[in-house]
Amino acid sequence: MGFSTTAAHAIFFIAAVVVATGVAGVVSDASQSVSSSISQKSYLLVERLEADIEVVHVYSGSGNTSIYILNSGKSVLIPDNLLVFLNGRRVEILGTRILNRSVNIQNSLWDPDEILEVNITAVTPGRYSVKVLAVPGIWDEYYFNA
Amino acid sequence: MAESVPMVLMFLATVMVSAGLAGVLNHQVSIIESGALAKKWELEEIVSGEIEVVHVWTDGTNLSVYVVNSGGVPLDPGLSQVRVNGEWVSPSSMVIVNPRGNGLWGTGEVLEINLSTTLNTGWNTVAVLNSLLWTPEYRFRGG
Repeated sequence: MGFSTTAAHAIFFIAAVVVATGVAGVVSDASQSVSSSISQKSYLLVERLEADIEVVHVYSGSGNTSIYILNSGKSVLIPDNLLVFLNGRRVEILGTRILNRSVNIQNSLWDPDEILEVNITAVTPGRYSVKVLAVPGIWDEYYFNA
Repeated sequence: MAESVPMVLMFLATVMVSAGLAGVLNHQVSIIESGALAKKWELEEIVSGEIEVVHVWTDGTNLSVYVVNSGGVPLDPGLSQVRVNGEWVSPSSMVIVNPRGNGLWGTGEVLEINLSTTLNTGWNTVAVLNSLLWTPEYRFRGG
């Protein structure tokens, strides 16, 4: 085997190593990224499957209307994330408080089995539907007479 | 000894050609890498991203569509487009109703999209597109 053949082999070998290293880096990075996206998605799915809420009562007073919502799921929820729709229309939340604060999980958040009181503006007499949405995508609807 | 001089020259020439070829290939690989990176972000958005219509309010003409970012990647709310009964309708305004303050549409945040259109008297459908993500069609009653 002459020197020119060896040189040609060396050139191809070095080029092949350079290309292989570059491609391996890109593929490894992409597969790692997809893997972390899938695990993040499954975490969100589990969180969603474990979450549930139930509107247990609505009290309509002259000052404001209070909605009582039970965290009937297994995950800790954030009261600030709630949305309230009265007869389909979104209304502002005036204030929230936990009625039966447990001390077992997250004292500052809305733990399972705790009841959250949500205050909204007073309503005129009539029949209403109230829909409470605890994002992501967990909601309950309740009908009441004011 | 006289033979080793051309050998050294040939060796140097080989190294120089290899380096040149490697440089060219490296440049090509970096172009492929930047393309793959863009694809990776797209793939990440498709795999990890998810949006869902959670509520629609209407008075018969005006609509407020509430869409939650239920995926794991923040989105640009400005890229949202709405299709009502199969027709594209331009939103009149959009607002994140429970913002956490970073300007993007983060996980768990709800985007309110307001628009005006003529609805059917019975059932209607709405779907929202954001970049590469579609919501499932949401059915609601017209006014």
